Amino acid sequence: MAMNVVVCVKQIPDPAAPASLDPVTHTLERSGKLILDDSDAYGVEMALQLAPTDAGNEVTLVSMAPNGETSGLRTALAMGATKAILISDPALAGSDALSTAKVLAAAIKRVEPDLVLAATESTDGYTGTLPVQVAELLGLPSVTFAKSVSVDGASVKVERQTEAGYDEVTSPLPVVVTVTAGVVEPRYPSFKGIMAAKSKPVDVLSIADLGIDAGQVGAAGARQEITDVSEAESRSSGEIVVDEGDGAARIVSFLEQIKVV
Amino acid sequence: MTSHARSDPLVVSSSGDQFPGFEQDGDRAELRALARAVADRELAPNAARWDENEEFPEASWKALVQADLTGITIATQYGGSGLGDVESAIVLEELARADVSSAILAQLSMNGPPRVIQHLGPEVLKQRWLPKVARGELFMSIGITEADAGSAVGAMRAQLTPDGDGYRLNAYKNYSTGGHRAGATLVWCRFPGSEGTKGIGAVLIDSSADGVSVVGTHRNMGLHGSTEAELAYDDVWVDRDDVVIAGDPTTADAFRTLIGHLNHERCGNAAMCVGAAQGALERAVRYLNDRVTGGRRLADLQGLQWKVADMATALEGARLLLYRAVGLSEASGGTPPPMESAMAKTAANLAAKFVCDEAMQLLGGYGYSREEPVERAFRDIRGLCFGGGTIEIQRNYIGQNVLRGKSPAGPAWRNGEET
Ligand SMILES: Cc1cc2nc3c(=O)[nH]c(=O)nc-3n(C[C@H](O)[C@H](O)[C@H](O)COP(=O)(O)OP(=O)(O)OC[C@H]3O[C@@H](n4cnc5c(N)ncnc54)[C@H](O)[C@@H]3O)c2cc1C
Repeated sequence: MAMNVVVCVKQIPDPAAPASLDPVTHTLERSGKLILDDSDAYGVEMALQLAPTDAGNEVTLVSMAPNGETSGLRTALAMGATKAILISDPALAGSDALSTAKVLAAAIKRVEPDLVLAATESTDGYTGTLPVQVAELLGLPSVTFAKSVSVDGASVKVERQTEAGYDEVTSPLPVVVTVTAGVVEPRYPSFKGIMAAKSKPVDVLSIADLGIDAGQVGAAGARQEITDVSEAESRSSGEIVVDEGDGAARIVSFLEQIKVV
Repeated sequence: MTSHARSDPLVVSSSGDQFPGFEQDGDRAELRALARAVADRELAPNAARWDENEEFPEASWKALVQADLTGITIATQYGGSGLGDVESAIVLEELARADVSSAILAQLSMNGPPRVIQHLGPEVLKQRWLPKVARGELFMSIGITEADAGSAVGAMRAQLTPDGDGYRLNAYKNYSTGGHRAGATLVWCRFPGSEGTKGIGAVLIDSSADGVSVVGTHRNMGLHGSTEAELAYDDVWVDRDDVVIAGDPTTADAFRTLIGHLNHERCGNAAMCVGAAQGALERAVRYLNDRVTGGRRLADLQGLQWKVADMATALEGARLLLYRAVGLSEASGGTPPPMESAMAKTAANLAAKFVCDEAMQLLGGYGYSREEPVERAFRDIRGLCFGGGTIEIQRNYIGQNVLRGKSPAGPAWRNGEET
């Protein structure tokens, strides 16, 4: 049975380039070139392994980004995804996680997927709340922190990472699953993949296309406001213990002091 | 991306209309980025291992295949990407910057026998072999050199004798890069009645055919990952379909055509030298900037700045000659032109020797350690100064032709005019 998988992918400013915050809204500047968030490469790889596109399955990328940005999507298409939906609309500027979830959910609904994959969190925002919000809005179950995913007929089996080990969770399809980083080895986009990606369909939608009211999303609809941003305290330099015969004793007393021993 | 022109010194004009090889934006930029990613992620981390263990770079080969980098010059109808010499130079430059032994595997596929088969071979042969190369199921080696026929290729003894509908091959090829791992070898040989360079042609021999044996592999100074094999052919059956280009005993045309096709390899060889030297120069620059002795950075010493200037200038000169040669390939019938290729190879071989040697010197004692990639690059590129025709043989060609009034491309030379 052919599978229809959606992967939520975020396009983020290149982490290797210097980042800056908008002085008024305190949100990350996202006006330059964006790239595929590394943490989403795992979701894309997982999707391609569960639903190989050369065997008639479909992997659809869903992304929300400013300025019709598709660079990151092209990378994922080059890896092998079938097509992409990009929601780009000036009214979306300043969206919080919930607004973003509304937009993504509306776009995902159109695809009627069997499975929705997302990263546990993005590497620029790190809220880690979006996938479960999407699941709630779609009325789907969600399984988070998957370290392994397998599909068996109409259900999905997930090994869910916990602090102690992992839980084995089974859920009926469709379901939203978040994938932790490092669980699969994301494939390279091959040269032919890069060339083929140039002609794969990217559907660019506005919020009107999705029937979403501008008042519900963007800065206008945000329930979350960043009131202030301050620099992380720089770490103080450590204490150097010069061994004058009492080195071991001083280390032990230090460890006792911080209640390690 | 507007910063491209600045970050890539090869872009002299966005149209590149003077020399097509200089046009390196768009798909070519993406190809370079991909090759660089493969080199950084897959080749560099294992390069020392192949070298130390004299081990075939299996993981590099897999990575090259996975990224589709082995079949880029094979026509799309046989499953390749249908690209040319500029693109293969770009890829080889990037791969060799990390590991020359691994880059050579790509060189064999992009610029070696598959190229010759594609241009000259019968359709059945193309259909039988090219898709396999494009898919990365195998690579092919080249059998030209024999114990008594190196630079003097015309002295070869490899001989075909007629047998029924085909031939029998008896040959001993003593310097075939990767011959011990190749799926097939393009063997240059004499057709019946051949003498001198007349009647020399080439056949493709499946490595699993009866009578083919790997006698041994050379233990070289460098290029430990790919290395060269000695191959023996005892009465090996050669079908008519396996003839890539037949030698006619009355002319040396086939031989000349084959020599002409070596220009793909010469340019690929030059590209690997440029890439390896680039890597060595970059390491030296980093070291000079980091290293402080007696309170001063080495980078602040003018004597060393001049060394870096000479290294960078030699390297860029070679690179420009290379991209001119490959850029002219299409205009000269699909093969880089001989004079420009010979100049590119000579300049790149010499630049790589100079740059790697000086980089080692600038790195001080560390540069001489086998833990330092420059030490390996120095040994690896040394081998490239022989393969594909030695520096001296390239100079013979350039010198003889310049003295006959021939010139490389460009308006500055007064061809054959009295001065
Ligand atoms: C790393 C490496 C990879 C190789 N790969 C292959 C391969 O895949 N397939 C293959 O068939 N061969 C291969 N070769 C062999 C290579 O092509 C020969 O080594 C080369 O052509 C020189 O031949 P020779 O070694 O017999 O040296 P000789 O021809 O004996 O030359 C000895 C020296 O004399 C110089 N010399 C010779 N003739 C002249 C002349 N007329 N004028 C001026 N100087 C001259 C040469 O430049 C050289 O310096 C490879 C060699 C190396 C080192």
